[in-house]
Amino acid sequence: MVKATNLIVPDFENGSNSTKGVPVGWERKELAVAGILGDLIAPISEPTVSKGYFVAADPRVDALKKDVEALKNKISKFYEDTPRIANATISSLPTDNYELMVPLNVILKMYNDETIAIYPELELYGEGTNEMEALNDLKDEIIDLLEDLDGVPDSNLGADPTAWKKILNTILKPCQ
Amino acid sequence: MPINDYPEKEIRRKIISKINPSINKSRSKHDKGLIYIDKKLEARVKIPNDHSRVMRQSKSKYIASDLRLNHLEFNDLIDCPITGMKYYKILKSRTNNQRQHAKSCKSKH
Repeated sequence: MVKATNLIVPDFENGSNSTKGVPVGWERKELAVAGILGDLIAPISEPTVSKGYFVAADPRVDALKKDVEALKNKISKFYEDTPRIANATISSLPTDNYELMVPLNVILKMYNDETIAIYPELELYGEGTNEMEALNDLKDEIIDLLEDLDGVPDSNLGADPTAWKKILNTILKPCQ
Repeated sequence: MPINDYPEKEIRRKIISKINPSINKSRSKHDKGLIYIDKKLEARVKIPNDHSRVMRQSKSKYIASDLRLNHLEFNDLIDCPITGMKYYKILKSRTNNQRQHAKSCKSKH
């Protein structure tokens, strides 16, 4: 319950030509009884004169305004950082040397300004301003990985690159 | 712990100067760095371009994962406490652990 006394400047007692005095310590009920509460119930952020009474700004309003602003920022950051997620399929690659033996299921993460296409099994991702760009970049990434691994003898591949190569061999075959 | 916000070019600069990977020009938009330990290819990282825009964390986490670093280590790599030598020690210990794990799995089967 907001104490009406918080809303009223203490020096009302002295009054002036434009304001009438209200006894210090009067609370909401007493103001209501006196018929002067009216629109004073809501805390206000700016000092104002209402029904002939000068009403002080409630300092809590400023604090609340700041909290609301901080909350708004948090929410907008949350929406910026939280992507919409969809699935897509890659069924061909932009190369004459290899073709896909199976379609690849990829994950699309769509942010406001950017989209990321992910193929987690090969730890690859493509990026772009929209889904098409991201998917095309991912296709290029797959070919890059293949070419990188082809350039290294099998005996010089560590555990992860060996696993990637194995996966690539199961999803790609050289074009005849 | 989240990855800090870093400009793309700073991530690029630190990867190149500290890790010194073998860089392959690629057909996609980004260079790839191949990371070798004892002449074995152990990791491969997508190197950001030379942009001054801040890389969103949802993307830099993939680079950290490419480098086989957790978020804290990645921050340390970019902020400086992790030197190139220290990075290779971390990577070596991770790949050795992986090998031992693979061996123990094989022997169980």
